[in-house]
Amino acid sequence: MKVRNIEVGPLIGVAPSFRVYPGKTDDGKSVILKVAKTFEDGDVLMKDASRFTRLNTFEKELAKFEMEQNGSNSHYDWLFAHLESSFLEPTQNDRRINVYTTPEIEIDKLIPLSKLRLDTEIDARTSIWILGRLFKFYSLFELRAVSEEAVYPKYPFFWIDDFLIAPKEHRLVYYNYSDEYTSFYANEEVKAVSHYIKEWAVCGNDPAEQEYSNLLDDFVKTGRESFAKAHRELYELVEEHWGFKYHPFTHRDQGTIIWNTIEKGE
Amino acid sequence: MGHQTFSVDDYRKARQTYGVTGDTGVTRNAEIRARDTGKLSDIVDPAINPTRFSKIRLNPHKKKWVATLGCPMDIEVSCDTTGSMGGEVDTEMAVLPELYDAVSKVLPGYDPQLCLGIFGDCGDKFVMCRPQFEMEAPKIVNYLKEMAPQRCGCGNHGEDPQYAMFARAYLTDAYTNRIGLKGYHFIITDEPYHNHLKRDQIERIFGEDVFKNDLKEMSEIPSVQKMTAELKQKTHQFILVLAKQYYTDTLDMWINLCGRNSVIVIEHTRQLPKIISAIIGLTEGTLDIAELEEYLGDAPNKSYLISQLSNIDIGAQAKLRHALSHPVPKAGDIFRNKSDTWPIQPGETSEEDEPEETPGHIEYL
Repeated sequence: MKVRNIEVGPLIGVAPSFRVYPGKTDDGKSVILKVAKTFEDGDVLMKDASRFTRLNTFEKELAKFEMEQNGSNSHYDWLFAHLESSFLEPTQNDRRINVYTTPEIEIDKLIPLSKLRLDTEIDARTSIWILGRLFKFYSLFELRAVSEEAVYPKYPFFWIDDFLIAPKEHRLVYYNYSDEYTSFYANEEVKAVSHYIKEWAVCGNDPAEQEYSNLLDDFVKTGRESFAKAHRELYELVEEHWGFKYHPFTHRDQGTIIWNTIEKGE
Repeated sequence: MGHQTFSVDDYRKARQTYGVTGDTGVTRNAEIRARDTGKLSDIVDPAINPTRFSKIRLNPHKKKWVATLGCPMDIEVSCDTTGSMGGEVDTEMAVLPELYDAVSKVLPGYDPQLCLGIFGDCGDKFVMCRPQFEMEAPKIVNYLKEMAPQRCGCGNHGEDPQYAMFARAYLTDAYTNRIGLKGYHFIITDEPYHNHLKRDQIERIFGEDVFKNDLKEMSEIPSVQKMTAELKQKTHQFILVLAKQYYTDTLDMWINLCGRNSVIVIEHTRQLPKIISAIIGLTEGTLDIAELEEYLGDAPNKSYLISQLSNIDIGAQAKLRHALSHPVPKAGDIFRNKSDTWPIQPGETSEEDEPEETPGHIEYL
């Protein structure tokens, strides 16, 4: 099926109000489409589009500011999908369709985080970069709150279904902002994110991994006052024990003992 | 009713014809005349035939009526002209071609009809000016030059835009509302409103017979809140608040009255064509939110503006359109009677109902 200039691929996901499809534009660009199930369901996608637009606008402003200050930027834009278009499609009874791209990563390299989690366990250092990406993503809402002079940041609720992951490339992409639920409490959200990683990761017995395991336990137990603080603590530990260097995605199938790695460029 | 729309050529000619050649002082003559006579020009006086009309334009056609343009879309803008905003009619005049062009682009198939008014304070000699909904440059240029801004405001913590809102809520007959769509209503100000509507002021502004004629169904004067609810039933309603505000509670008061999604902070009234058309485009579903950043160009404080525009009720008109019993009337549709709400629908037509070429106007050589 074709919508506008996009050849729509097979269904890859379903939510209560919309369906998710991959797509390819006429000029070969990979995209993700969310298609409302009914005309009325288009409201959910409209809110999703509004939120992504606001997030993207803020991120661009932040990146510009960082470039002016430091000559580089933190690339928060790599952590969420970019809304390409949001429109009512007359050939689909005016159902709303949102189209997204993912900056600097091909969509076909991304898989749902929840799907990967279902089948695998990951080693400590792999879990660190995923946790780091999650902390960094949520800390963007803290920066936005400061910029908007809001009393509290408003975090989207943490649902693993809302993220895609590219294991080789160390990329994590938030792509579903359609949920109404938000949280004002960094503590609770840090706990939720950390708990998810703790359940997934297998920490070894060496002192560095044990220290990480203890920190993770503490995140789960007490949370943190902000994601920025949690992120800082996590990377202080990384710097102390491993330094900032690439660690291949290391995983094993659940119930097995052999670790496998996926290297960049494979 | 004709089929002419706004054109830049007509706009230029009209400015020449009416002697509106400068960028400032557009209303100077009208202001002097109003001061000397104690009366507003009839074409902007809200008390002269107080109900304003936005109608579909129909021409006779084989004993029936043909729509010469599409469905009308009433767009009313009422601008504060007190104190520092006293020169806003000059700005409205200057940005008029850009405004018409911008709203036309986001309203394909519609006939945009503009009612560009002004308001002040009940302490002023004249509280507001409200012209008819018009779509042709000469008529709009003519009514803009007849405005009499009072440039005062009385410094009494707020102005009286609530009477301009009242006018659209209760003193407007719009085709959009008859078929189940909504028009657009914008208030542009840097101050809050006064939280009351008074019978004596309504009679003063809209004529002493207004309750005997146009408002005879109105048994009691509504509160400002009730009036705003009525306005929202009939229009997509927005308050555009200037970033430099005179009182610190301006924004909060408007948000409390109209809702956060209806209040947009703007830097300058020169931005009006872009902002008004962006709001209309997003509400109609003709402007893609993903294109908003590019659409706004180099607007000052763009990030904040995008953030606000992303929060309006996007696609609200598309929802209303989707729920209509018939498609929105378009140019060439045939109406049996001039007063019919809907054109003849497919299946109801006979050969004689087929539209003919819309007659052109004479171009003299």
